Amino acid sequence: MPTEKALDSELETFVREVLQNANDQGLPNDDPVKVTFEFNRLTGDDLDEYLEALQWTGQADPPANLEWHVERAIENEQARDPGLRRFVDSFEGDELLVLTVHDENTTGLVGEEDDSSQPYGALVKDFGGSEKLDSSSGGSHGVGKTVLWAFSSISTVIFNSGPRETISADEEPPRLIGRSILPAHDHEDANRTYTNHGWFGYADDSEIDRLGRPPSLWDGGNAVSELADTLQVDRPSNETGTSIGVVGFRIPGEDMHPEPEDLSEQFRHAAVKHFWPAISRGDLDVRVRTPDGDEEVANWNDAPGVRPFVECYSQLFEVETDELEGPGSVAKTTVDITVPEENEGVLDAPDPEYETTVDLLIRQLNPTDTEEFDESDDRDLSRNRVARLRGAQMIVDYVDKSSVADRGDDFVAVLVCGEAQSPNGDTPTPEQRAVEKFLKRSEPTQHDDWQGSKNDYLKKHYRGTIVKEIAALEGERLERALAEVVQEDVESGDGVPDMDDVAPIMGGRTNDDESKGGGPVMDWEEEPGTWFDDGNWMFYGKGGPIDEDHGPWSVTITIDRLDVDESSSDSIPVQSVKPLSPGVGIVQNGDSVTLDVDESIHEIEFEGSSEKVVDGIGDVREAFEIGAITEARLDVSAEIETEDDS
Amino acid sequence: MTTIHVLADSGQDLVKSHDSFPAEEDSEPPADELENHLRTLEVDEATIDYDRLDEAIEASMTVFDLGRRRQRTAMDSNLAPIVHQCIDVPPRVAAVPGMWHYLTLLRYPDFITSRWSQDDDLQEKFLGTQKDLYSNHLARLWWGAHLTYDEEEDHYLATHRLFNKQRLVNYVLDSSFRRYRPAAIAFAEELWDESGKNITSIAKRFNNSLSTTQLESRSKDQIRDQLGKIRNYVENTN
Amino acid sequence: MPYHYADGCLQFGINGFSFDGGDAGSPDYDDRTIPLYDYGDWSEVTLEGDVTIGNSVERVFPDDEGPPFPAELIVIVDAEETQLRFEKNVADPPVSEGSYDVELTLDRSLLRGDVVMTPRLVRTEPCRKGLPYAPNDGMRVAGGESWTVVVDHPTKDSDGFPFVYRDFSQDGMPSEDLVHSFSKTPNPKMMINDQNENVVDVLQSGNTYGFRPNMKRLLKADFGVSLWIQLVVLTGTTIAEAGEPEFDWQEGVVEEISESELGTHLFDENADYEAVVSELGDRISDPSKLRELITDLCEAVQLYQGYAEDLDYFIQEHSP
Repeated sequence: MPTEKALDSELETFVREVLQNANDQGLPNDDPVKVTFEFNRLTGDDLDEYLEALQWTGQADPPANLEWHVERAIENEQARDPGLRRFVDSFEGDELLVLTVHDENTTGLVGEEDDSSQPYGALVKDFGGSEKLDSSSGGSHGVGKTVLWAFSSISTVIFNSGPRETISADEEPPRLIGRSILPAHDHEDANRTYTNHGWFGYADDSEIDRLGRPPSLWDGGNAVSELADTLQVDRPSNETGTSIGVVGFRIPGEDMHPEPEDLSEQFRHAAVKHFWPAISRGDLDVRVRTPDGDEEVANWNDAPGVRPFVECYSQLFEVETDELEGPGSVAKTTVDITVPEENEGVLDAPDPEYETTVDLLIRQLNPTDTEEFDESDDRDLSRNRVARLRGAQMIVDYVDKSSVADRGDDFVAVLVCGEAQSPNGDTPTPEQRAVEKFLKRSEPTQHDDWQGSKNDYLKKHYRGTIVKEIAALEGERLERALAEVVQEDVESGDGVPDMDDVAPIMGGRTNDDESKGGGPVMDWEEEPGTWFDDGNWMFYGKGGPIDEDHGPWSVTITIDRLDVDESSSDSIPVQSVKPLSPGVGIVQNGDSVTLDVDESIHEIEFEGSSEKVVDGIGDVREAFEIGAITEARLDVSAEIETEDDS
Repeated sequence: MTTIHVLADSGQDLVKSHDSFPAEEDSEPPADELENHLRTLEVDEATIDYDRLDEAIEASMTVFDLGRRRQRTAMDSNLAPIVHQCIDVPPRVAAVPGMWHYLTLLRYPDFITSRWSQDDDLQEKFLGTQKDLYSNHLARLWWGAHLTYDEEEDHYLATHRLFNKQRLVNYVLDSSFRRYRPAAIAFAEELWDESGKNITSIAKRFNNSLSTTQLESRSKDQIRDQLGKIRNYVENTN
Repeated sequence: MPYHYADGCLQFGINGFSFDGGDAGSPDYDDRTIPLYDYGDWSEVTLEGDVTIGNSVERVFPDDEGPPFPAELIVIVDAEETQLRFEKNVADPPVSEGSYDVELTLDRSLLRGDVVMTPRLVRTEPCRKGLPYAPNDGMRVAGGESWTVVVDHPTKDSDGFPFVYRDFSQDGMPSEDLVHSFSKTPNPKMMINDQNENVVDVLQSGNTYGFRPNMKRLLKADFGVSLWIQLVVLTGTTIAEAGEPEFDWQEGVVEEISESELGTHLFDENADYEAVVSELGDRISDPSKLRELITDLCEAVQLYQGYAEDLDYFIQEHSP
């Protein structure tokens, strides 16, 4: 059973791929590429019409309905697709979730039927077999990846496009084509075998003969537009771009009925996580529309943990210093890279070797950053990660560099490479272009790493050190550049951190004499207290020793005059005290009074008053002003002899 | 942007554990060693006019007879405003003890030694922190001026009066009410010509009254008025 | 108080804060502190909160005075290190029971360390009735719990024996050594040679896992062993000469011995402070007992520092 994390990452891959393709096909203007993920839950007549247009059921001999093929494809033991079987087992024709991805301000599916260098051709080319790392590396054209089909329950995807340019006059947009990629299967009578390619297109025998598949449909009248509408891939406007319909959207390996509201959240999170550079530059606008019609624009709140990275990246052309100046500050440094010489055997105008650098921006974290990471709940969006990107303005990956922060401040960093190093609108330098190409060629199909080892495609294009240079941007060279900035030098006199527990002795003796007796000795039935009345401080209390086996004992009463800091400035003389219990001796000592009690008495009660504090002032208001009447506190201390002492 | 020098805590330790300085007569701070314990702060909107400060301190040491107590007090009164003007830093910076340690130990050690040679605790006049404004000598002059400078009228009359009376300055800079500037100024204005003995009992009574009166709600005039009443009472009961 | 005073009548709450109109943070409600020291270079902070006057306010004014009552609601701001105290007015007189918003902007250049903010209700008119009510204007009649703005990293008062870096290439220092103790004074220190880059690297690493943090645990135990032997012998010598510990740290040593396995191992289970003082003095002054003490001490200190345990763990984790 796959873990949930793995599933999430499948979804992330889907969002990344789709957005990356759209982003690559942006038109050369200042407007953003706009991508809308639209979920529709088809039921009733809409679903019936949809299935009819898709030829889900229908002509059985020769078999031209999709259901027929799907049911047989399940039987293929070599290419087992459990998702396909699950769909067939559970689909009752009453509900179907369709995801349509609309991109706008993009080139659309341009290119002739058989030109595989163009977006259209890349889409219809044969990629059903084994995909090698080198096969599509470096190619940024087209949706030439099986990822779209993997997210369709019946592995079927419909494309409707308004291409930027067409070849001949009778090609009038929209351009419609559909494709199923199913396991190969046999006809029952065993005289016919079907490959894994299934097509929806223009049934023109000569073209089918020429291409080995039907060509796309072009809109002569309105028929194609209407068909596109029924198939949920109608274009939002007449502008160029592509709408891609994923039939029966599913997450590979997960249950059949994902909730569009949950998906919306995850899509937006993935979009922001990987495309915040493009989004922050205003180059990309991502939205998700759910079946209830709600449309949400992906923004930082969908992945708050990108904010520290965005802050950091925003300083690319602002910050000059390579020193951090406290939490929230950003420093800029570089990482060396040598791009090897291009191979002249393969390329017409090979580049020479370039020794250059890429930019590394580092932000020292502050508590807000940490909160944002916590909110994101995504292990990539957390402290001590380096987000890496090149000109495509997509985060290739987040590299964990916690080991660097072991000694130093927590940080986030953005490694900015190749064409991303040149300001928007400027022409990149030859060095920047060379780095861009080098890294682009190192990316595997998913564009989620820079991979130097076991990369035939790179080996084919370059002569010289490849593996070490690609690894430099992830390994030790990156770490050294980070460490230079993040790790502070110690200075003579600085304390060594975390040494407190070696010898915890500097507080001196904590249990000193006063508390040695330990805890209270008196049990007060009435806690002694003082209050001001008619020019005197009155007091009262009632209690005795806790320990009943006591010897003679005494209580000393003092009234402290408090000043502004609530410290005792002096004392107010006790004028009279009346023990309400018999057998108690009274000793006046200075301003205080002591009540002496013999061992036979266990409890006393006393009351009394101070001298008049307003004597000779007359006016109470003035007595306050001149500091005669102040806050006061009753201080009662007890001395108890134990039986042994006596 | 001005560079402010600050002596690190390790530099303080060095002085505290020093064998002869400042205990022995004519001893000097271990300047070379202390240089190794300096840090710097870069501060916007700050200036230190060392030329004028050097000149003022040098002149003071010749003009005033430091052997006589009244003269030393007069010198403080004269220098405090100048120190405050020459060391133009925000309170946040003036609150860094190391800044004053640098100034006393590495800039003006002779001055500090001469001013306080009669005193028992010379070391705290070099070191000492903001918590105890009575200690570090330059910090004491600066903060005393800072708390009594008349911002509206732009003059240091209250500063002069405060420092001109040893008992007054000691008491004010030792009390927590000093942090409320109207109170510090009111004390200087109201009690500058009072006898030392009366200053002590007036200030003590004032402090007592603050256990019930909220200082920060009182204006300078209200405080002066109250001090007047306390003074009357104290003078009459004596 | 000599008159009716409502302690705790004012509930002061802080809801949030923001810097220079931008980034925002949340306070530490448990400690009632607003930690600002990890937010980098800000120049102004704005705090938002409220003060609620509770119903006990009725007790501190005579019936004929209100509500509303002749008093103002204020927050006292006290910045001790920068010698600054002032009041922030929250509500003008007259005031009644209820909640009042407060917004306070503080300028960083005027502050350092901690700033304490305390709510107070202060009379604005004399009270005709007089005692037992606060008779004068300007008197506080109600208060509440304060909040502390922590502008700078608090310097914690540590109970631990201080370890500091020092440049050993300076004159008078043992340039080849790694550690050097400095313990003849009331303020002893263990000094670590900051010229040894690798060791500094290890000591500066955090408390996580991996080679350097594990090595740090080991180094700490190692330093601890030699430090404790010195501490115990020096304290014992002082006791032998003077009859009792002289400095605070020496009292700390005796106390730590009496309360830890050091005491159990060196003396016996129940050796209290006084017993440790007398035993230690006794064994240090008698040469025959001293030998034994040193042996016991080496054992006891190793156990106390968990030296073998740390070493074993380190080898297990990092052996090739």
